[in-house]
Amino acid sequence: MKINRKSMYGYLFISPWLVGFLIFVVWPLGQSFYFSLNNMRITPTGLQFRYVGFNNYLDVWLKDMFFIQELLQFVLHILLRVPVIVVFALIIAMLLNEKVRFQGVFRTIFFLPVIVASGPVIDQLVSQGATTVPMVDQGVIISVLTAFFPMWLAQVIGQLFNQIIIILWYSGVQILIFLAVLQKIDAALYEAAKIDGASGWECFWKITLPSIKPIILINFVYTLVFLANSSQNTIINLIYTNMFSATRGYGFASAMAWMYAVIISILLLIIFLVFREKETKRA
Amino acid sequence: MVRKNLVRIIFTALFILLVAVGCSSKESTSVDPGGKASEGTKNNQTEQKQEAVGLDPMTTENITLTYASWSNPVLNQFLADKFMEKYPNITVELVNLEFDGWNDHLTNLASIGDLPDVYWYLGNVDVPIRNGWLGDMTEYFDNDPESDQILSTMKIQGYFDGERKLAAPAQYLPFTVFLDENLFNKLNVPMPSPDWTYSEMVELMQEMTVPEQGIFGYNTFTQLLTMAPIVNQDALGEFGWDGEKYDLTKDWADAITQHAQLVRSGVHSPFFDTDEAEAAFGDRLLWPASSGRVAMQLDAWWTNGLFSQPEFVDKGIKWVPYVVPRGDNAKSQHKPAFTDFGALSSATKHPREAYELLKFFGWGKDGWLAKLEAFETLKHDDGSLVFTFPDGGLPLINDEEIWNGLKKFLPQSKYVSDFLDRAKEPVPLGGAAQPGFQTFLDEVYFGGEYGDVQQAIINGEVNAHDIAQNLTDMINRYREEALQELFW
Repeated sequence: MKINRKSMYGYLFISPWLVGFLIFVVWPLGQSFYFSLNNMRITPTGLQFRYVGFNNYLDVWLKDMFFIQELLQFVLHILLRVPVIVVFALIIAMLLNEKVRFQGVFRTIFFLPVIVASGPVIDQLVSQGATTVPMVDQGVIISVLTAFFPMWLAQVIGQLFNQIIIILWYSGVQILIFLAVLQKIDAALYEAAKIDGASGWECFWKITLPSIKPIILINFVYTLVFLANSSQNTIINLIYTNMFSATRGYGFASAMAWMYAVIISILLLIIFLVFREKETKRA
Repeated sequence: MVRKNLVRIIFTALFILLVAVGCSSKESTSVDPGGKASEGTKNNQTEQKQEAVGLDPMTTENITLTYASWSNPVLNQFLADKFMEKYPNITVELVNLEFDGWNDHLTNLASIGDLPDVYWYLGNVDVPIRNGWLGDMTEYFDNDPESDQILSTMKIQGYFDGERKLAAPAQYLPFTVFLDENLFNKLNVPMPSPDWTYSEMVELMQEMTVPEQGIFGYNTFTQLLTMAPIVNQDALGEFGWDGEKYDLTKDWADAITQHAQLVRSGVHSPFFDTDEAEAAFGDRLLWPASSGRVAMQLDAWWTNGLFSQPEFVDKGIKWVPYVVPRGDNAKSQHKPAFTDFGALSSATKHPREAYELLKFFGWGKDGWLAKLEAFETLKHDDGSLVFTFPDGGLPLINDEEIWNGLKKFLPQSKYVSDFLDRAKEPVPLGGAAQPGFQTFLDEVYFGGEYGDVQQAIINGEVNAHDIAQNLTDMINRYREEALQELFW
């Protein structure tokens, strides 16, 4: 590849990001992988390592009684919450795309939780019960659901209802992304369809949905990654707890983090395979 | 010329002599008619003698020591000032850390090479052991004449590998059984003797339960299952720890079974935030101890200050402190106590001085005298005392002057006096004192095969005696594994 003056400018412009990426992403990634192959001591005079190979990885699966349990719970939650968030975001985006009064105000309202409810604020809101619907009695919901579903599934669905507000708060960015793509769809397509007698419902299925399919994939990916890294995520907390645990430590926690990253990657791959743009066969 | 030089030399020598005399210590020359200065001199000489006998002398160089504990910051600062007054060449810097995530903060400091020279660790001793934070203070502790003054059950703590003194109790707050004297009087039940026994306590709990008047026998913060093995088996720790092995098959199993029965039979007050609590008190969030309808509150020493507040007095509740009763056939006065441990950093450049600082803030007599002075003299801007109740725990040494000094700041009551006389064999609990203990709790006792073991027994899901042997084997194994794993 020939590096000319123009591409040099390009590299120059992205160099701050590149340096940051190397220092704050690539280096810690390498470091955490090295940690995961060792037992570590954080002594006052420096870090000490004892090489244990992939034993930490084995221990994550064989010795930690919470990891698999939490992982299964997480996957179940993801299966329910990601579609709920994406569908909710799509509905709201379509409503906000209509020409209504105070459109800007509504858009701001729906995006506001992204700014307000982040980091420690969301932890406080959750712990103070601000993210639950007071009138929704989880006990009643679960007792109804257990009539149709097994207990483990009923509980997950019950928790979905219990935390519905927080789940919907997580849709701000997705609404924005959907809104952007909805505005890009050519209005002429809808006009033509209407002339041919298509209903609104048919327009949605035949025009809107196929047009935004790549963005649905992006929003699914975004939502999954967001939930996977959320401070509310119990696996993240488990990794943190193990990091400072006396008998586990950074090595074990790093191995757990890597295993978790692999699982998330597999889930992302599944989403990609489901929502990818299939090449249309030419006649 | 020679004569002129000679005169110069004589004058110079005379000048140096005068300066030397002028700058010499006041204590060493002046005679105080009141005897204070001479007493001070005597004390200093005694100290010097003690140091000469047992410990290496302290450095005379200017050094800085860092110190971290979660004690009251005002008290910490006062003690630091007093220490610096005693050793003017040593500067003490207090390291302020948030109590939440204490060990995590220490880990972060250690990772950048800033672990304080002297620090307290929280709860789980495995963290400092595994990371090699604990400095060896055996030489200083063993050669320190003041060590002989330490309460016998506290002196033996901190030898995690059986040889080296790696940590020392820095404060202890004994379990305290509070009895509502007014409720006892109302029901015409005589108050028990301060030398009451464990079985008397359980009988009183049942006797004081009057369902028709909505009166409950007891409420727990501290637990029978923690107390019973220590007082009945003369154990040296929780779960029947005898110094070598745990044994849950005896008093632990009996105590938790008994507690489960007392809960089910309504002797124990309803638990917080339950329908039973709402039915009993009309408020599911009410602390039973403030309802005036509980005869005994199993709690800890620190609640003394709270119970003297108007919130309780105005309701006609008169909580009086009792020590945890002794076992019916016990040979000792062992009592469970919440104990905080302090240690020296293994990386400190001044271990001798750091040891002295740990002692001063913990068990040292001079430190305790300074604490008593703080309780008496520290005042807010409006003139009110900073400490309306002595902060921290009880003295770790057998010294009448200190114990009597502390009594002055406590309620002048026979109950308190009796309590203090019987609280001098504290037994530390759990993870702070025993390697592997916390991991056992996390992985087996509260999150293992039986879920929360205590809750499972109370719910009647498992029988304590059926699982006691298994738990005993597990906890002993966890300890062995921890010792092997932690000291690598």
